[in-house]
Amino acid sequence: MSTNQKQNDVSATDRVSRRQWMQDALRAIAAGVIGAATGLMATRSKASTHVWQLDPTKCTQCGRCETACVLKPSAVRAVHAYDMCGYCKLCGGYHHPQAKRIDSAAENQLCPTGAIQRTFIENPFYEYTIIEERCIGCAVCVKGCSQFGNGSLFLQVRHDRCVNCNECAIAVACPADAFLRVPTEHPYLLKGQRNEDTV
Amino acid sequence: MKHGTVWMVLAGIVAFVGTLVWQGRPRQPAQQVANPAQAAEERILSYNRQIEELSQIDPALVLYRETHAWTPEGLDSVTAIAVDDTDHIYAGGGNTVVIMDAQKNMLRQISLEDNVSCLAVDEQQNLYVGSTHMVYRVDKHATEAQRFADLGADAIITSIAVVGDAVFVANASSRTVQKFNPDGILELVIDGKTGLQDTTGFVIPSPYFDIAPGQGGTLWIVNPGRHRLEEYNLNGERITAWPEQSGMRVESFCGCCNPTHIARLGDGSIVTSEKGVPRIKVYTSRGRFIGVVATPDDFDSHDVSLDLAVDANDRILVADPYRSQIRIFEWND
Ligand code: SF4
Ligand code: SF4
Ligand code: SF4
Repeated sequence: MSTNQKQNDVSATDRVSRRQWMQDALRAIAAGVIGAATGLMATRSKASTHVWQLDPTKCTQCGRCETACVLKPSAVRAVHAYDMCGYCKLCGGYHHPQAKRIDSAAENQLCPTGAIQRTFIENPFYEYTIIEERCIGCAVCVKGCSQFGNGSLFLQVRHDRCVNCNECAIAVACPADAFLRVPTEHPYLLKGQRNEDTV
Repeated sequence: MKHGTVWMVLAGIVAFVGTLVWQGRPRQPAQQVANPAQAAEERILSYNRQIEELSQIDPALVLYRETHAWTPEGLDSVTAIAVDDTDHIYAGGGNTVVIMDAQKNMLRQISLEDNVSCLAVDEQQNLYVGSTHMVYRVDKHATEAQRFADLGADAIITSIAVVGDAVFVANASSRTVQKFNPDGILELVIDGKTGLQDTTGFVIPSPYFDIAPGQGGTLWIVNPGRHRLEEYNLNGERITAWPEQSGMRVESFCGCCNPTHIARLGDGSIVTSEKGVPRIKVYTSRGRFIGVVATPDDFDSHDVSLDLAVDANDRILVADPYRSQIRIFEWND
């Protein structure tokens, strides 16, 4: 046990609660976004009892979600399960596999549109947040996170954008058969402990 | 003069037409942005190529070869492995541990209430088994597991190491290593903090937190969030740590939580295994890269956690859960 155990315990508690607070805060933000999206979706697809969604456990990150959608940019975006994230300094979803430096310089970032924000929390933890407006659903970050990380980044059809085609063009193109119809009341298939009520 | 002018005009025309033809040439696929589907596919392919490049290992660096591979009788999967001083092999998978002699003959089989996460054996061939938040002890020749220490419902036990009569248990949940005496009494908690220089201690982004006995009564602890190995004395004081930096090169560690497992060779060198780009490597106890034991081509999945053990002949035993096999790698003469 280290000599300044008590001091460390206090600061550790403080840090944990700070980190927890940030996670909670971010979840609340995500809840707002997804909640609003769900509301919008409900008005848009009144007639429909089911909507299209992709199962992130089946997705093989082929890249077709970006281009096969009838919408440009795609209705599919990256989502982050914060409770699964390792908050790593060197993030497989954020950093290029052959990044020269572990920093936020554009040449070291994997995302082609700079849609992931990297925020310093405390040494050595960093928080990674998707800037949805910039995300094109290319799946590269998802690939990197599943290759090297905990698989906390994943794709979802965002229902504030999706027009709920009779036959989803991505479902037709998806080589992993990851697309399915889900009930309108539960339109997301989220990883981690997130769900539509609690995020 | 007249001829010269004609030639100059002709040269100008040729240059002009040449420029038009050059401008109108078909573009290389890399410069084409007109086909977004191709561009998107190329982005993924380019990522895959980079991973392949990272996975390429110069054959001159590969110092070991695989000599044995088998699925032990009584196990459906192999996730944990240990070897004792007499080269008996202990393998865990699901809620079962099997004990084999060096010729792979089954000696004993032990069932637990929960899944086995890690194994360690002391000099008297008593076995310690980590299972969720509980450490069990199986005495030499016994077939029943006795509760040795309960680390609490929140604990995630990832590794056990026996150094002398001290039993060290890594708990990924509390990010600490706990030291127990032979009666299962907690004596010390190592948090990896070294005062002002390091106030964070062990960084455990996911449940990979391995420990192994060092040479001369020390303990090696992996600090996976920092891609670092740290050596401690039995009072929990840090003696050394390496490497200084993470990196993507073969001699470095990268990704989330690497190295995932370690084991010690007879001369004190350290064997490491990694996930993401799965590979097994050897370093001196001071952190100098010696070479490669197994390359990514030796494994069927990138997402594989490879527990390690070393026998009396410095053969490296690997628990490969993807193939449900124990695999042995030996120095390539
Ligand atoms: S098309 Fe299917 S496999 Fe490809 S990125 Fe989308 S969900 Fe994943
Ligand atoms: S890498 Fe692709 S999927 Fe990930 S955030 Fe950037 S644009 Fe979105
Ligand atoms: S249903 Fe239509 S809009 Fe929605 S994701 Fe599929 S193709 Fe895009």
